[in-house]
This record gives sequence, C-alpha cells and structure tokens, in this order.
Amino acid sequence: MKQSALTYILGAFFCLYVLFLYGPMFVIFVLSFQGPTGGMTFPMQGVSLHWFKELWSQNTSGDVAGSFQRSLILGLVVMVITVIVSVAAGFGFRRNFPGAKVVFYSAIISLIMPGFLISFGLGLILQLMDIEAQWFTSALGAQLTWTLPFGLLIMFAVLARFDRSVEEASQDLGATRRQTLQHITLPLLAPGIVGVALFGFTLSYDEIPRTTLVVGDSNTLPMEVLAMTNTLTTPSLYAIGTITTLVSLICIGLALFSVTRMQRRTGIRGVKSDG
Amino acid sequence: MATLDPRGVSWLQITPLVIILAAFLLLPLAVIIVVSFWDYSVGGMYPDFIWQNYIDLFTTPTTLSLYQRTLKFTFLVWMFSLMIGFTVSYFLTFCVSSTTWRMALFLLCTIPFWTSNVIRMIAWIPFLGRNGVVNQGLMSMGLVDEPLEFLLFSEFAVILTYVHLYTLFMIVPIFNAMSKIDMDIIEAARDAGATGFQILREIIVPLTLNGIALGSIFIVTLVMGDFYIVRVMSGSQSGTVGSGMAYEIGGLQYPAAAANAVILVIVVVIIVSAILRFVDVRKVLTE
Amino acid sequence: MAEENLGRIDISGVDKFYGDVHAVRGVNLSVPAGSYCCLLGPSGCGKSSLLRMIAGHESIDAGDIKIDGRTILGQPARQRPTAMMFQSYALFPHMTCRDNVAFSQKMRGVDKETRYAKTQNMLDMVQMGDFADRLPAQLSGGQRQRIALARALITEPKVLLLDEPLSALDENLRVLMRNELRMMQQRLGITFVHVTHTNTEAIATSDVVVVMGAGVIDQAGAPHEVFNRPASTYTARFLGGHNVLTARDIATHPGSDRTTLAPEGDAPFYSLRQDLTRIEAATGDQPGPETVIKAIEYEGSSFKVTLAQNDTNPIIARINDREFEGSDLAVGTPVRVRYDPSDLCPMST
Repeated sequence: MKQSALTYILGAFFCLYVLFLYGPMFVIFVLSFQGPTGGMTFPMQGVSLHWFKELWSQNTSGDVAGSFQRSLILGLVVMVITVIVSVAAGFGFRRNFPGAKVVFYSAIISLIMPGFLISFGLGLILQLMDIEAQWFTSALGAQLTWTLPFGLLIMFAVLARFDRSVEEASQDLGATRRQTLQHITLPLLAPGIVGVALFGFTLSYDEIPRTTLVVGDSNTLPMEVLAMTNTLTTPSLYAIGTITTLVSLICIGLALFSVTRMQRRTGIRGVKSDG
Repeated sequence: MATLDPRGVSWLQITPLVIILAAFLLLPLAVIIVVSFWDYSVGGMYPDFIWQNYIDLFTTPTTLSLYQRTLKFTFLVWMFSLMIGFTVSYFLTFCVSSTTWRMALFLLCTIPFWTSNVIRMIAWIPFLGRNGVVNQGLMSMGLVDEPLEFLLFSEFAVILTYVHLYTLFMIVPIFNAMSKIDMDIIEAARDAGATGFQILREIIVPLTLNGIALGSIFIVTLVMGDFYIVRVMSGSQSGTVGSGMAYEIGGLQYPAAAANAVILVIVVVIIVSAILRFVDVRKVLTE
Repeated sequence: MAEENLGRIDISGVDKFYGDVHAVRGVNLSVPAGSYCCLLGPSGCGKSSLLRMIAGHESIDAGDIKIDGRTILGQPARQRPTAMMFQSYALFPHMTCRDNVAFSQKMRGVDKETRYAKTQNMLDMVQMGDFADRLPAQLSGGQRQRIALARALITEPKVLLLDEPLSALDENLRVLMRNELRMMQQRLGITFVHVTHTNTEAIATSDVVVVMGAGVIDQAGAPHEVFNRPASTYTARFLGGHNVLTARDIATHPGSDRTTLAPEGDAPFYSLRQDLTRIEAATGDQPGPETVIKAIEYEGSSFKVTLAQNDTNPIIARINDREFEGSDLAVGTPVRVRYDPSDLCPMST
C-alpha cells in the first residue's frame, strides 16, 4: 500500500483514537491507587491500595463482593447455556428447514432490539403473573437474548468456512455420526466454540439494559456499580473498575491463548483444507 | 441413518433457541403491546383497550422534544462514529501491510468492548469534570482561566460517551467489508488513471456500503434504546425517549411507558428499514 | 482368483434429482471386478454424482446399485465395501498423517499398537513412511494425495472411488501420479472408479472408459475401442483428436477415389481421426474440391493444420512435424483433403 503522507496522517489519527479509547480507562486505573487522603480526581495524594481494601470493609456503600460473585456465576451459567444452544442451533441451520427464516430473523431482532424494552416486557410479565424477578432466572433469560444472537452468528461464520468433506471422509472410513462429531467436527470447530464462550461470558458479565428491570433484589456487578455512581464518592468506585476490567482482560487472554494454541496444533488458521 | 428425517433433526437442534427467544423476546414484546392499551391510575393498571396512552403521547409537547433530542443525539453519534470508524478501518485495511499487525491493531480496538460499559462511562468523569484531567491540563497550560463547565454533565458529555462506547460497532462491519475488497480491483483502477479520491468514491465506498449500513443499524438501536448513559452523563439534565420511559417505569406508569415503547420501536423500525434499502441483509449478516 | 470378492459393480436405472435438475438419468453400467474404470465428462455431466451415489454420500432417487451381486441401497457409507478419495483429499487437519491413516482402525476399536503397525505398513506402501508425524498442512499436494490414498486403502475396500484425484496437481506430477495409481490398482486387484474431465488421463489409466454427458452415459468401453470407434459426435468431440464430418462433408471431400458416400450403411455423421486426415497441395489434375489452409499451430511433435472449409466445423489435419517441415505448406496454400475411407467411423448421433 502507498506508504505516503496519507499513511502517516491516518496513523496519527489511529493513535489518537486508541488514546481516546484507552485514556479514560487508564486514568481510572491510576486513580484507583489513590492515596488514602486523595479524592476522585488528580492530584494523586500518594499511592496506596487503600481504596481496594475499603471495598471489602463495611465502609463502602453497596454490596460489591456479593454482586461480584453473582456476576461471575451468572456469567459462567450464561456462557455454558449460550455455547450449548448456539452450537446446536448452528448445526440445525446447516440444513434448510421450513421456518428457518423466521427463526433467523427472530435472532436478528433479538440482537437489535433495545435491551431496555426486553427488560421492561419481561418485568411486566413477571408482575402480572406475580412471579418474583431473580438474578438467576429472569435476568438469566433476558441476558440470553443478547448472547445467543452473537453465538449464533459466530457459529454461522465458523460453519460456513468448515469443509464438510472431512465429515464425509470420516463416515466413509467407518465412523458413526457420533464418532464423527466427537473426533472430527467438534475438534475442528473448537476455536469458534471458544469464541462463542467468550462472548457468552463477557456479554453477560457486563450486561445492563436487559438485566436492569428483571434482576430482582440482588444486583449483578454492573447494576450495582450503576447504582453506586451517585452514592459512592470515593476512589473505591475506581477500584471496582480496575478489578472488573482485570477480570475481563483475563477472560480475553485465556480465550486468545487457547485459540492460538489450537490453531498452532492444526497448523492452519481456518478449517478449509485446500488441495 | 434413514430412520430420522433430517428436517426433524434440525427442528430438534433449534428448539432450545426457539424456546428461549419465544419466552424472553417475543412474549415480552407482545405483552408490551397489549399493556400499552391498558388503563392505569395511582392504584395500578387495569386491563382494558383504550387509545388514551397513545393520545397522551401525541398530545404532550414533551414527547416531541424528547424525540427531537433523541434523534439529534442519534444523528450526531452516527455521523462521528461513521467518520472515525471509516477512517480507522481504512487505515487498518489499506495502510497496514502486515496481516499480523492489522489483526493486532484491530484487536487493540476491540478489547475495550470486552470490558464493562459502565466503567468506561464512569471513566470520563474524572477526565471531564471541573477538576478533571482535561481542565487541569488546559488551565496549567494557560489556555483557559476557568474550568470548562460544558465538558461534563452536558449534551457534549453524552455524545462523547456514546461515540466512545459505540464507534466499535461501526468499525467491525466496515473493516470486515473493506477486508473483502479484492486489491486487484484497486490496482486496476489505479492503472486506469484514477486518483486516490476517485478510487475512494467509486470503488471503496460502494463496496463498503453494506458494512456502513450494518454499523448504522447498530448505532441507531443502541443510542435510541439507551436509558442510563444519558441520565448519568448529562447529570439528569437531558432527557431522551429512553430516559423518559425509565422515569415512567419508576413512577409505575407502565401502560404509558408501554405505549412509549411501541412508538419507539416503530420509529426504530422505520429508520432501520430506510437503511436496509441500501443493502442485502442476509448476505451481510452471514458473512 | 475368486471374482466375487473383487468389486464388480452393477448400476441399473439410477436416477438423481437435485431439486428440478435431473442430474443423473436412468444410468445403466456394469464395471467388471478388478478393473480400472474412468468416468469421463465435463463438469455437470453427473459423473461425480454417480460416484458419490456408489459411495453412499448421495441418496439414489430411483434404480439400484449392486456390488458383487449384493445391493448397497439403504446402506450408509460406512458400511459399504467402498472407500473414497476426495478431490480436496479431505485429510483431517488436526491429526498427524499417522492418525489420519489409522483413523478407520481406531473407529473400529483396533488397539493402538496393532493399528499403528498396520498404518506404518500402509505408509511405506505409498512411500510416505517417513512422514508419519507430519501434519497435512506441512505436506505438498502430491504427498497429501498419497496419505489420502493410504487412508482409504487401509480399510481394504473392494472398490476405491476417486473424485478427480489429480486435478489439484501440476501437469508433470499428474502424469507421474496417474501411473502410480494404475500400478497400485493392478497390484491390489480391486476395482478403481476414477472420475475425471481430462480425456488423456482417462485413456491412459483405464480398462473401461465411460464417457458421460448431461446425466447419461454416451459410450462405455475399452479406451482403444472408444477412441477409435466413438459412438456419437459428443464422444468424438469430447475425446478430441477427431474430425466430426457429416455425410455431406464426405461427399464434398471424398478423400480418395475409393470413397463412396456411405461406406458402412447410411450414417448421418462420421468421425475421422485428425492424425489420419492428410492433405496434399492442390494441383490441377486431381479429383475433389480445393480448400485453403486457414491456420497452422505448432504442437511439438506435430503440426495442427486447420482448413478453411467452414467456421463452425473446420477440418483439422494433424501432421507429423518432420513430414510437415519437408513440405511447402503454409497459411493460404490451396490443398485437398485425403484419407482412407476405412478410417471413417459412422455415428448415429
């Protein structure tokens, strides 16, 4: 490509964008180590872990530890369900079946529909049926409407690149359907499935609009943080931010690591074999 | 295995998905529509079929101003995210020759998406506040005498936050579309004497239109459906349709909020349909 | 040598529809046990569909297929005494060559030591013994093909089905590999069914050539038979190297004094091998109309001379290069067509 003035200008623009993206996060990260006498903004009054410790003490308003735990558990459950349902549905869509279009468009609507409305509708149903909203039931279901479309689209992309002739070869060589699935199909789809799992967990872990009206009495972490924006006026808020971001980054790291390891083992980036 | 009809197997495989979507997506939306025709008072809601909620909606001046502000935000965010998104994608696709670097830089752009939106939103507060980084920096450089108030708890802050959070939704589809452009076409155009700008206008933009449309759809639905970012970042000074609805729900005025929701969905559908006139939907989503 | 165990295939009345497209139309074919059979035709003629129906990867809409007298309808691919080599080889990218080849044994429950020993034998047989630990991505096209072959043959099939096995290789490798396939088949004594669109490949390797077009078999027979006595203009044209002449062409260009209009009965078409078509410079005192050389193309050991008698069906003469170079022929030279009438082959379609 033209290594010219344009490249440098655009490169500078790109750097600015990256700064724009990461700058505020970085500020929070730094401020979370604010000294004990410091406030919510610069200057830094020393460096300490004071505000991290405050999170675990009773001084902080809000239930950080509890909501953190709930978010983790919910995230894992949503991840598992998303993987199972998305993979199954992805396989289902390999054939053309009556009603395929309707289901597909429903999934797209689920992706695009403002989450707040889904939360509202679900909350209405619960109220009318006199059922209590709970973080592990209604919030779970609502979050799935966000994670499943992503999972499904990823499976579509992965399955589209998948060369079916390896499955035929497997059967030709004497494997049953189950054996083919176990030894050939799933191992080759594994990177994509890891992607689905990653989406499932992180989307749930950070989710707000769909969760907001159906989470019940006990909040998830993002809901709790949102509630604390008005009440919590110390750098502990930033400490939460740092911790939760670390959790997210660890997940991404794990996912990337396992995918690259898998791809290095098969020696290929995609799954289509060429002649 | 000739015993099981292959279509039957497909149905079995999509059943979990169908059940979940039906219960947690379609049913709630249906209920919203139904409830929008109900009556309500201080005591609660009463099943009914009245148009009153809609009439209220169309006769209150607040509705129009809320929609005006919402659409204004949507347009501005769309414009900025498109400009930034397109430029970033262009840079990644055409100015970065090494595939490894391209992927790495792209990943760099996407990582913030995986972290909490709330935290990213809050992160702007110490940045833009009266004693925040920007103001302190400007004052120490002597550019201003007093802190700039408009940076935080204002419409500026709201739009800035939206752009910060949602530009990625433009970058991904546009980058995806641009990556698929066959470089040979561009070479051929250059051979034929086209300038860089002409190539951009005649080749790159038309081939990226699908991605732009998809990104636009995301931006529209995300901004118009928001209810908390606008509240926090404007300091509750600005209202949009979403925050108005949240207020009504907080006041237990469910049927009114439901009617609001229905109108919002209709408006969004109209805008999305208009955007879809430019693209082939199925192809874009399954690529 | 018991013939029942060597893979005789009987295909009767087989039909295949893809939606509205009638891809295979009532095909009947018998492939002798232990023979090398090539299905030859252009893309879309149904040859791959037919192959996949024998393998069990496509269903049959009508008709029957028997192997060694026993029908294989209703049997899934894994139970059939066939093994397939795919066009893209379909090697399992996440397994080593050893595990690829050993896969069928593992699915059958053979223990590791036994199956690895058997695998090593197989790999040695295809001269890939040193590559057991490599991944498919680390192999060249020809090497992958050998692994695919080993993987298929380890199942001891009666019939090996090859779907355009050589099309991904370059020309020299192709010639090499087709010879290896031929020798492998003769050594094993099983039936090979090889699908290809390259006529030279089919003629070089097979005992039986089956020329297909538009879902039907045009002609099936030994290569020598098919090449010298094509049954239809389609086969003659597809095989190449033939002039397709109408009865009128014969009348116009008698070829010699002995030519009569209908040498073996009234046939609408005749094929005449291009290398048996001769031309001589036209001098005044011979019978037959003149025509003019329109183009000359050098082919290495011969010259392809196109005559200008009409544009849609030009007559082509292939002349040995020494002979041509000794003559005075050039573009524009008036010439007459000469051939031996007994070289004409009548065709009804």
